[in-house]
Amino acid sequence: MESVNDWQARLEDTTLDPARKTTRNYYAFLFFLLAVTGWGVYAYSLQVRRGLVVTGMSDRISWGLYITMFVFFIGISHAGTLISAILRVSHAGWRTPVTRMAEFITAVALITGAFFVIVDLGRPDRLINVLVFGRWQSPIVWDVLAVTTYLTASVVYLYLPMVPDLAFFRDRQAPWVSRPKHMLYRILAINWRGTSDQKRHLRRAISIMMILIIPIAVSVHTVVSWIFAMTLREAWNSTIFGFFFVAGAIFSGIATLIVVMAILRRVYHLEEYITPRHFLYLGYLMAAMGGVMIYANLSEYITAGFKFEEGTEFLFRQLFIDEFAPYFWFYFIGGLMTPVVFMFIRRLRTIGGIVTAAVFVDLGMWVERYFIVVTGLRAPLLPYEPVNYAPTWVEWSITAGGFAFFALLITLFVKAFPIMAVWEMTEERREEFEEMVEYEHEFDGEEILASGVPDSAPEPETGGPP
Amino acid sequence: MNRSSRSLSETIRAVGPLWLAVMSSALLAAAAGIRGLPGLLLITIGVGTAVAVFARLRNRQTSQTVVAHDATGGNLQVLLRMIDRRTAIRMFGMSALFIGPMGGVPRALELLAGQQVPEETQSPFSRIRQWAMIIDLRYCDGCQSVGSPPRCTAACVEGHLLPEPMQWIEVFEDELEGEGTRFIPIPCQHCQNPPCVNVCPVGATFSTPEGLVLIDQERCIGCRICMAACPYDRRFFNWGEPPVPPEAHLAKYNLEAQVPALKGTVMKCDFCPDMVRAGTLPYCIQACPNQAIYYGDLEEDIATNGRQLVSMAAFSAEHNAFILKEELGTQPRVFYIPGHGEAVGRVPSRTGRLPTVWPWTRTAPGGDVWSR
Amino acid sequence: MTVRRLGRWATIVLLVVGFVLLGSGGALADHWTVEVSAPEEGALGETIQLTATVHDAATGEPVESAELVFFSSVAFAGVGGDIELGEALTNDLGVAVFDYELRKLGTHTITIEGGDEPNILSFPVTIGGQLYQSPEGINLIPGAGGWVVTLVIGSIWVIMIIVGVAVIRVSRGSPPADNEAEAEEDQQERSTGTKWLNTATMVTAVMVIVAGGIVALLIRSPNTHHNRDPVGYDRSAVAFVEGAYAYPDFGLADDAAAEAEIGRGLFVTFGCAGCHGVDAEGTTTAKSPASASYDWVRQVIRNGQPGMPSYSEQELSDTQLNEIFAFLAEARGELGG
Repeated sequence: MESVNDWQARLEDTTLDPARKTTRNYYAFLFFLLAVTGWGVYAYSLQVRRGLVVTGMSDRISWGLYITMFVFFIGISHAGTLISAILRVSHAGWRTPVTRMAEFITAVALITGAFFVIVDLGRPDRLINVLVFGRWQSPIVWDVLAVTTYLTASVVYLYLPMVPDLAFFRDRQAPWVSRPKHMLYRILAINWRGTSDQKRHLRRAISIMMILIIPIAVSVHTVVSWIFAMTLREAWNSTIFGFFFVAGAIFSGIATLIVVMAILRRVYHLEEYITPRHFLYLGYLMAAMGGVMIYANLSEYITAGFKFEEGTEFLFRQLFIDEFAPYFWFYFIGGLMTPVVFMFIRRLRTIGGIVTAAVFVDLGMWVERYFIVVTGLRAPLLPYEPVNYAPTWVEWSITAGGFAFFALLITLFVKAFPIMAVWEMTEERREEFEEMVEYEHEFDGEEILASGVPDSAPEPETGGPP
Repeated sequence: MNRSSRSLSETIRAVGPLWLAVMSSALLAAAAGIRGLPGLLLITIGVGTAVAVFARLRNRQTSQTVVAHDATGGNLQVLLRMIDRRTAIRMFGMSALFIGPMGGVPRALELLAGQQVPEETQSPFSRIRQWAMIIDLRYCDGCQSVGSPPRCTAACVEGHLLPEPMQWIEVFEDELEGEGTRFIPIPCQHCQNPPCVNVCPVGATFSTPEGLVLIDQERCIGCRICMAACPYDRRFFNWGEPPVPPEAHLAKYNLEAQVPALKGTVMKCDFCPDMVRAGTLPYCIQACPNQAIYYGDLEEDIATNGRQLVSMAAFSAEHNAFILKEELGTQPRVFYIPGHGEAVGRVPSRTGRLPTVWPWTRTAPGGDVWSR
Repeated sequence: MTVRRLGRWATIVLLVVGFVLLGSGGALADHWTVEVSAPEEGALGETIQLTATVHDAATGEPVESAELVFFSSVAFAGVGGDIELGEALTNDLGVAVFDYELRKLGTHTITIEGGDEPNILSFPVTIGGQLYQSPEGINLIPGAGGWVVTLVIGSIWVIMIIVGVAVIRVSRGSPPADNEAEAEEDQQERSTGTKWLNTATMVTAVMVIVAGGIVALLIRSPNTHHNRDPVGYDRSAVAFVEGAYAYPDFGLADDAAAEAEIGRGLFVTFGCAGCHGVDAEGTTTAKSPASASYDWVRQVIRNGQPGMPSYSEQELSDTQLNEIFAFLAEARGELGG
């Protein structure tokens, strides 16, 4: 039987692997992402030179893909909050192997999302005006404050549990392999020695952050929805918007986490740690959020449709029947129903099925963000014919660049940082050993336990909690 | 006292006095008749500090405990156990230190910077004009009888050297309840609860003491949330290099005229405060062949179309004036008198108006072209 | 004798006719006496009652349902004249009451028409201040504007700074006493200046800087919601009703100038400015038409010239042609030709 220390050594090796070995495919993928990001940067430079006239936006539909991307990515960023903070608070032990990825998605998605606000500006050169002349009554300033706070908090929250792992990287990576890298780890590991004093302070910091980050995350997506709900547009004039956007954010966050998890699991052979159980749990969570989203949609559209105020007919017609019907029904059936249906059918409740549903959810949520932005603006306010919005190649290029940038940051991250929380996982493993909790038997992923359940008393602790 | 054995209820008891402090200070403030959050905050800080000092004195006896650690870092109870009384007090104190001064600082800074409304406004002899507009739709025929595109729009375009798709005052053709149409010229409504001003992140669009809503294009960052917020579709964006005649570039930028148009910023009707200062009525009013547009002052209750004087209140009341989208509560400064051009001999069944022309679009050097 | 009798009869008939005419004439509102009264003075914004009592000039009886029209003499925007305030009908006592809101400082001159000749009423208004006040808006609810935001963000950042302090403590954790090699390395690490210049302090420093930025932003933010405190409009003067910026010259330019202004627009709209210049100053393509005579301008516009298109009456009406000429005449003056 394997001891905890052996198990830990194997885990450490697995975690170190991505940083130690770099395949040719990795470089190819990196090059591809760099190329797409570069293309996006080129398109943006064109937009900076010529102005927003290169986009498909006009006075009457004055927001488009960029705001869609902003809302979408801020939504994605809720992956980390939910998985690592909510599940940490509720003490769900199974979350530990996936927290690191979730937290990293949060930070990266926030950076990408924040970029798109700047991309959308007509005068990015005057960005500093927000700080110099900012008015706190403006929803845009709420966004700036909330996103700044959330970015800081999520980077700190990503960093804190990573400190011991960074120390482990520092100790395991010999300086002669790569001196700058070693320096990086040494600086980031902030003199971590694993003393009880340090552990106490670190735990304290993590505990505060995990509570703190939940209200921050909720408030961030609420104020993101408020840039719409604070206007007098018929389609956006809704009290449910804050809740609706937060629910949608968590929904798409889980979906993105599932997709990223599946990719990293396949590429870096993390099958031992990221088990079907993780997919199943996250799939259930996703289905539950799908149900919440269906409910929110019904609540929103039925209250509007029943009264059928002036203007509602136009909105409903364009959304359900005419121009945006394909988008809406794809979102509703593909994005919202798929995860629910998949989780009900046993044969589809596999990793493949769940990942497929997650991809659908991500696409559906992206489409939803898109049509929320565009349908709201398209409804005419005065007697004029509604105009249409068609994104130009510049917008598509920048959008593609945004996605590529998101993937690029994740790709670079897995190269440099521990993709799993070694320290936490080891500690929990020890606890499991100590407490002999046996709830795992109910689930499929038994091979961990099968190989790991000790037949004797647990090893004496070496660096565990005091 | 062993802290590891401290239960949730004890923690709540530890934080309890603080909560009590906040609540009692609220009651105290209510009893003392103190209104407004700053006063309430001040009292809270005072009472909170007192409670904190008291609690700290009491706490000193029990703070010599050893921190015994729970095995797992991962649930709410652990956190609450960690936030002991002292930490809670410290957090509260720091919050008070941090938030407390915020109440006074903005006002103090404002006073120091002299950002107040000028002193004269308090004097009875310095009443501020409150510009407003009345548009008499009985006299508006979309310039059908003149046989030209709407003159108000043309004059505005030429006066402000506007780039192509901008019609700051735009003559819309609206279906009547019965049959036919009416023409309705719509400039910026200069709302008194302006949604655009309320959402602007940098205060680039602002209300003046005269009640006008203006835009500082040299501050605008081009985020376009004001365009999303405007329920009257009266905001225009310079999507590219604006197609304006060369002389526009010679003008020194002036936010009251919004000339020259600046790329990447928002523009709209400004009620021509510069024209008024120079001694003439706005372009649209001067150009209207039927004198359908009145420019007036709500403070003195008077308006003129250049020929005739009316009392704003009496004129509006007598002819059942209405405002656009009243239900939104934007409180516009543009009042409409219902009609469909009947006073100048237009019949509702005669539809259509000539499209507005921007004379310089093709000749504007380096200008981009975009559609509305 | 007959003549004298005839004369007497004629006198009687004339007198009767005269009386009849007189009586009916009173009923036709030709001979009313109207007495008007108003309070001695009022304050700005107050609504005062203008009372007019109508009596029959002949009988002295009060007249019921007599219609009186109230006018006010004002000058605004360079236009002077009477504005119609409204009408009032007398009751059975012959009294008509008109509610008049005082919106102007200084002497009010009210003309009441309805009697034999207009009655003029004049009274001063000397006290009062700004009447129009912007609505309260979001400031009505304490905290809705910015306080809630300030509080939430402030609290979050205070807690974040506590976290930062905790991280610093992690970095300064005591070296393990039992392992000498590590203790040595630890000592080395400390001596290389990482004690204060390490990530933990950097993280905290960044957090403090961002928090400071947010605080600065909140403090600097003007409270301009809902046109309540329109600060920031120091770029130009404010129009006071009386005072430095009373807009004394404010008014419509005279008709010729207005016509010329329209003509200026047409000059551009019809493309004349393309060759002749925006101010009709002439370009290398075409010379200035400013000094041309009316007949010549008309002939050229209607019939065209080599290099210049003609405009028929359908394309360019006579009125428009005149307006263009008015503009040219104005341009002649400006160009000094």
